[in-house]
Amino acid sequence: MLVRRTEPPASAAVTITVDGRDVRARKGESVAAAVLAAGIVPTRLAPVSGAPRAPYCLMGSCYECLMTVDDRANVQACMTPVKDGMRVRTHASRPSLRHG
Amino acid sequence: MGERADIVVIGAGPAGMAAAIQAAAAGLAVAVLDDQPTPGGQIWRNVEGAAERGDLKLFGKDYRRGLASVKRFRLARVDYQPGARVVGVEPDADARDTGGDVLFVRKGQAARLSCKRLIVATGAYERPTPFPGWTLPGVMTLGAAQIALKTSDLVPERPFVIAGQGPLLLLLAAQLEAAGAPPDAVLDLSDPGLALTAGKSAAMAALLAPDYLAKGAYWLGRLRATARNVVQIRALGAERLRQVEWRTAAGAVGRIDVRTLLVHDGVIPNAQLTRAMRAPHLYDMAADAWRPAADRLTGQLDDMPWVHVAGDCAGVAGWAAAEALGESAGAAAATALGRTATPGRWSRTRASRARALRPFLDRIYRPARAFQRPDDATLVCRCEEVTAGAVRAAAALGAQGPNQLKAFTRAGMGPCQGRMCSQTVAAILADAQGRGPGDVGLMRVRLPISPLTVGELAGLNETEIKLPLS
Ligand code: FES
Repeated sequence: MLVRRTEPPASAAVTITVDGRDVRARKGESVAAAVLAAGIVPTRLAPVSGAPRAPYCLMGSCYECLMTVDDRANVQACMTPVKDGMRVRTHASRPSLRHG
Repeated sequence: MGERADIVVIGAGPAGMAAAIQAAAAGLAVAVLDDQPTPGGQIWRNVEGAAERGDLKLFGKDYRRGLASVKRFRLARVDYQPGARVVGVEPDADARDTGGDVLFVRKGQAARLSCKRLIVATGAYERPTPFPGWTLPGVMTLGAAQIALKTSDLVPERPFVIAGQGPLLLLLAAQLEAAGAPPDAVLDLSDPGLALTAGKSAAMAALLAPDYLAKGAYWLGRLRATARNVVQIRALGAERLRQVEWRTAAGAVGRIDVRTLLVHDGVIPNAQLTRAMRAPHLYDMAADAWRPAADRLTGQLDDMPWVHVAGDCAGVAGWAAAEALGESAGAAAATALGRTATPGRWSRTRASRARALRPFLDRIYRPARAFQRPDDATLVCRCEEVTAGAVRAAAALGAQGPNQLKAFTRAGMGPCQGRMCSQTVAAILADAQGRGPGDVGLMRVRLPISPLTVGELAGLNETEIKLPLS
C-alpha cells in the first residue's frame, strides 16, 4: 500500500473519518489516497466472490474505489478531494450490489 | 435553450489548457470542464502544489515545465470548472454540426452546458494489465503510485516491486529513488530482445525517454542491479498481497515477499466519450490501440465537424505534441466560429517531431504478452469477475462480436464500462476467430459514460447552467 514520505504540516492537514475512525489527510489529496495511506484495506468486496478489493488506478478508470462519502453511495473516492470532517464509509463489510 | 458557450473544452491537461488559452485569446467564451481538482492533467498533476511543497525537482524537467503552462492557463479568460465529471454529450437534434450539450456532474449536481464547438482532451489511461492476482489489495498501477507521489507525497510501502514495460517504468523508478523509496526489484516484462535489461536498449532509452533520463545510462545501471527480464508474474496472498512470483523465459521461477506491486504496460487513448458519441474510431496497429478518426492537425472528427479531439486521447504522443495539438485544435475551432487565431509557430513542428518518434517508441515498447494474453484462470473483467477462460469459452461457442460476448459473459457490464476489459476481451475474441483486433472492434460504450444516481439523472433535465462570461 502507500506510506507518507512526509507528514503534511498542520496548515495542510485535514481530518476525515473512515468507517468511524479518524484519519489525517493532506489537503488536496483524494479520499482514496488518504484511505490507502491509513492502511485501510480492503475497501470493497467483489460482487460475486466477495474477494477483497482496494483502489487500483487512482485516476478514475477502474471503479474499484467506490465508497460512501457523506451519505452519498458509490462515489469514486479517487476523484473526490478530502474535506475536513468528511465521513467516509468503505464498502468492505458486504459484497457490493451488481451494477448494470 | 439558454445561452451557448462558444467552446467547451473537456480536460485541463496540456492539450485542453492550450486549446482553451488559444480560443480565449481569439475572444471567444470558453468553458473548461475537468474532473481533477487542479489543472495540469495527469502529467502535470498537482504541479502547483508540488511547487509550494518545494518538491518540483523530484519529478524532473518535464514536470517542472508544466508550471508555466498551468500559470498561463490560470491567467486566461476561461470559465474553468474543476471537479466536473462529464457523463455524456448530446449533439443538437436537428443537425449534427451546429453544436450540442455537454452533460456533467459537479459537486453532486448534474448540469448541462450548451456549446457551438466541443474540444475533447481527455488524455490517456494505463493499458489494463490482467494477470493472476491483479485484483488483490496491494497491487496498483504505476500511474496510481505516481499520482500518489505528486498529490500526497506518498510512496509505496516497502518492500515493493515494479513490473511491466514502457518508458514510465524507468521514469517512476527514478522518481521514487529520488524520493528515497527505490523499488526492491523491477520485473521487466518486455520482449527479451527489447528489454530494458538488455544492453543495447540502454542507449535507446537514454535517447528516447523523457529528458529526466538524459542520465539514462546512470539510471539503467542502477536499475539493472535490481531488474530481471521475466515472461510471467503472479500476485499471491489471501486478504492482501504477500508475494510476487515470476517466471523467466528459461523456466526459472522465483518469489519475492512484497507489500506493494506496481504494474504498467504503457498508456492508451481515453476515447470513452467519443466512442459513446458513436464517432468512428480507427485501430492503430503500431500502438495496439483505438483512436478517434480525426484530422491529424485540427483534431476535427471526420464525422462530426463540431467536435475536435486533441492530445493523447486522439493518439498517444506525449505532452509536447498534446500542447501543440491543443493549440491547433483551439485555433481551428476559433476560426470555424469566425475569429482569427494563429497557433504558435512552433506548434506544427513540435507536434510532427513528437509524432515522428512515435512508431519507433511503439516498436520498442510493445505491450507485454503476459498481460495481453492472460491464462484462463485470470480475471479480465474486474467488475463482474469474468475470467479469460469464460471469455474464450463464449468465443468458442460462437459469440460474433464484443457486444454479444458481453451479453454472454457480463464482461464489461460493471461500473467501469469496459475500461479495464474491453481491449483484452477483443484481443481474445480476435485470437479465437483468427482475425485482427481492428476487424473485431470494441464493445459499445453507452451513455452515461460513468454511472449517475437517479437524483442526478432527474436533475439533468431541469438544469441548464449559463456561462458567467457570456
Ligand atoms: S481507484 Fe480506479 S477509479 Fe478510483
